[in-house]
Amino acid sequence: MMHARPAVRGSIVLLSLLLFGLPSQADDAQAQEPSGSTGAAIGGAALGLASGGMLGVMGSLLPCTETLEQLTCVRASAISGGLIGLGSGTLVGAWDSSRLASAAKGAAIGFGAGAAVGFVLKEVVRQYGWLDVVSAGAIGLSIGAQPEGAALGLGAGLFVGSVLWLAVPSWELPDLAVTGLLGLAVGGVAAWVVEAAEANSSGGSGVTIPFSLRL
Amino acid sequence: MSPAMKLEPQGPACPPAHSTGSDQAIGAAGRIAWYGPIGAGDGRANARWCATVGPVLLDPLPAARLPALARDDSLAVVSWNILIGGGDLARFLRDELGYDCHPTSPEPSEYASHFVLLIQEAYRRSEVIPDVPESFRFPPRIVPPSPPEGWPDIREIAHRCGLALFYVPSQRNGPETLEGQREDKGNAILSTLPLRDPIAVELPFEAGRKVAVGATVDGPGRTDLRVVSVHLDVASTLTRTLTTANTARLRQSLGLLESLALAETSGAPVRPCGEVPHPIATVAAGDFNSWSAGESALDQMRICFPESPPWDGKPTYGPFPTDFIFFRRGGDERIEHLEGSERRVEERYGSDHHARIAWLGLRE
Repeated sequence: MMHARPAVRGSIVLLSLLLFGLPSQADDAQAQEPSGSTGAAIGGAALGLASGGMLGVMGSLLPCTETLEQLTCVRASAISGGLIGLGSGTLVGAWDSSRLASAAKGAAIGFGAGAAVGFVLKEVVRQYGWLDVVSAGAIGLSIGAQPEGAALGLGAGLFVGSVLWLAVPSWELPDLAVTGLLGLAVGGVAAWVVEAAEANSSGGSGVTIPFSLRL
Repeated sequence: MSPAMKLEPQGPACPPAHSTGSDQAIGAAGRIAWYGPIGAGDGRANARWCATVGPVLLDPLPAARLPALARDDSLAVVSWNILIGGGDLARFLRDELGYDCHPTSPEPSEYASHFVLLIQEAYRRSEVIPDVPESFRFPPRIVPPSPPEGWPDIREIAHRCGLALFYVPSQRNGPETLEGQREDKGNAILSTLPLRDPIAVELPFEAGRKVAVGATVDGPGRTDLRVVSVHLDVASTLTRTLTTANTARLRQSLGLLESLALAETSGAPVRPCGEVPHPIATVAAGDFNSWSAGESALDQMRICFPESPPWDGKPTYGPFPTDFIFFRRGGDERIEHLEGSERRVEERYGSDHHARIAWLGLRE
């Protein structure tokens, strides 16, 4: 179980990395060729781990509530998402730091937007505190790093959920939230994989990606 | 992940439990057995909230004079979240159970049976509820739509209907002081049968203090029957939800189950349900605040209460299936849940929840 202080420290470190570390590396990279670096690979690994891990948690929270091994189920999903994000983020950073800069910028914006929502919730919901503002920021970060994939996934999840709601009598309205969040998480994590593949492609590897998530 | 629970011989770290009933009644009931989580964090949070509420109400003998439960009689068990007095209990009793309230001489209809009401969101208004600094972030006051005569609190309802009462407040109903009085809210048991061996279980702390209440009644055939009223949290904080995998209600239901096992074994080490015989038949019912009937908290209850009536597919709070009745025979094979008797009450009687009713009887 994660405790409060490590969560705060982790969030601060990650935010600092996003705000001050990655953009400068990305600027350097953009000034030259679309290529990566060791530093960018490390940054990509951190961002991918945080984003993928949080997406894994979000996507599994509701479905795993229906299993007796709820904690194990969410942990497995978080680790899976985190590992995929870690690997993909590392590759993105190593191959194309400008892409990583874009993801980092989105993550920073997402963190800010999420924290703003968290702050509003803190004022409205009695039991919410500053730690929950940070948590909401972390959710925003995870989505903001891959907004197109997350949005596509959310839309697909809600669509599937709506069809099931209409077609299956036992399907309940709250289950829409399940498919929506699940879609958001899968879309976000998948976007990391696609990003890595595209980075490889743009880096001159010769691999052609047949589709793009960029809208 | 089971939260370890313990018997708290001194009671909770808040105003001492006491009764509003007569000394004779207190003696008949014995003292309340308190259970709570071992975790220091849970204990501190529960103690902080506990200090804001008034004392327990225990009036274990019903004032209404009714014939004793005959051997062949069935017993109605009702679970209902009454929305801080918004649910019209008197009308509910008349329409659903055929019981016309009167302080001492109610007029039960021909089809009326003895009953136990397992109530959530009961409230009490009193000057004995402590005034607490405004720095404490109280839950906002819930104000249900007003009936013309106002909202009777749980003590007044018990008095008007001549019922035995066990009420344990868990938190305040808002910080306000109204004409010198404050309000608290919590779970309660109202019954036409005397209440024995009262227990109170402070659940593991999530977003607010929750206390399950239990007591033993003479069930059908004079069998001992423990009845428990439960109310779980809706949600924890966002951070806890993320870092504990949304296990708030699972943790609370496990805490309840472990405490019931402790109560049955007099504090001996607890083993998982199914590995030990339960000496006493038990009904645990209430508002589980579940968003789905397949939630792990509910599945855990079903494992430990294998003779529970199946869910009828009907939600009880908007689209959500929040309210359930769980039953286990325990070691007593004579008592059973009468098949097909469990149902959702279609009218809400002013509450935002539908009640659920089940009947228990002797096996053929």
